[in-house]
Amino acid sequence: MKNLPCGRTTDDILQKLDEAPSLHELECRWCHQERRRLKDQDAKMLSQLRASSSADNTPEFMRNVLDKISNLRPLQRSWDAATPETRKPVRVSSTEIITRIRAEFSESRKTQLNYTEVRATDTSIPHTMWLIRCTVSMLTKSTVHEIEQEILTHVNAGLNSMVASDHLTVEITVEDVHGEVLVRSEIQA
Amino acid sequence: MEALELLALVGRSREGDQQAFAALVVELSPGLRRYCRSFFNNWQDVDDALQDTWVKAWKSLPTLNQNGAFKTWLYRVARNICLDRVRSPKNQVPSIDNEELALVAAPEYLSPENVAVQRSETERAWSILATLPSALRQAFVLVCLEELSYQEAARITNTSESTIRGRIARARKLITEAVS
Repeated sequence: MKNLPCGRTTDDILQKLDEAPSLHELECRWCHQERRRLKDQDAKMLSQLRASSSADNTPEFMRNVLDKISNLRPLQRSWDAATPETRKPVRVSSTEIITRIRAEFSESRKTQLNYTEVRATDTSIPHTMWLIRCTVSMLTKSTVHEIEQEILTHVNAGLNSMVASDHLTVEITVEDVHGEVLVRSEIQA
Repeated sequence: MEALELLALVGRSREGDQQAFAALVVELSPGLRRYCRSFFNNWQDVDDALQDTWVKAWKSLPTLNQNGAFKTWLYRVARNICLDRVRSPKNQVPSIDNEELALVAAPEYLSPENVAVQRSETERAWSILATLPSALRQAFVLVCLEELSYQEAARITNTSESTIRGRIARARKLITEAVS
């Protein structure tokens, strides 16, 4: 620990190195110099540590990871449903339904669809009652009502292009840019 | 990568989209690799742990409830895997394997001289960090190196924000003493 001529120590400055300098540190040249020295030292150390991973993260390593993952099947659900027009029995997976819904969202300028979850809510076969959970981010400033209507339209179009639906519940989660939940709502169709 | 893009990739990965998950692997591996390095003294163990982390993350994605929590969640997965590996009997004697580092392919844009200098400086930095107690090392890497918030680092390491703050100050003090 280094004692500075002003009576403070290096430790005092280290304790709050991430914060803005105090009034004393701004006015005291010893503290100011010491703070700068510690900041420079910190930056140099971090830059040396950062250099390691970007240079050494070889494509071969990535390939190994991705190969392992490609051998693991994603979890997906399947349901006995009915086709929309003729009501013929059809087996559909969550991935197929999500792909259709995502296709409907692809042109949206108001919302970005981040996550979709599909569930059949009835016990009868074929299933005709559905719950779709959508997590979206807003791309433009919109009201909750506008967002809800747009999501309902896209989900309806995507789902009904694939399976018959007598009842649809859409649970909507709107998240901010950091993924924190802003609004949750539920609409029925 | 922008935050919105990251959210979309996390969401698509949760839906079972392997391509989206592959993009996350490419984007987040460098930072995750540095965090794993705070548990081990050689890159081989780091890469083994990192590989296990991604496989475990893929398998456990259905347990993730919120896209925004992904990064913290992923680092927690990595932490648990690293701790398990560190505690396993075969890892009781830590080794510093410099030969391993010398075998790693260098990017073409760096001359051999620069690479040698950079590697020796980098390894010196890691060896300074290796002298710190594990808890201080982890806090320093998460907040200072990976630029996570105190809150995120606290969640990952199962501790409080004030503890993280204290650990970083102590880590910096020990680093300063080691450097000077």
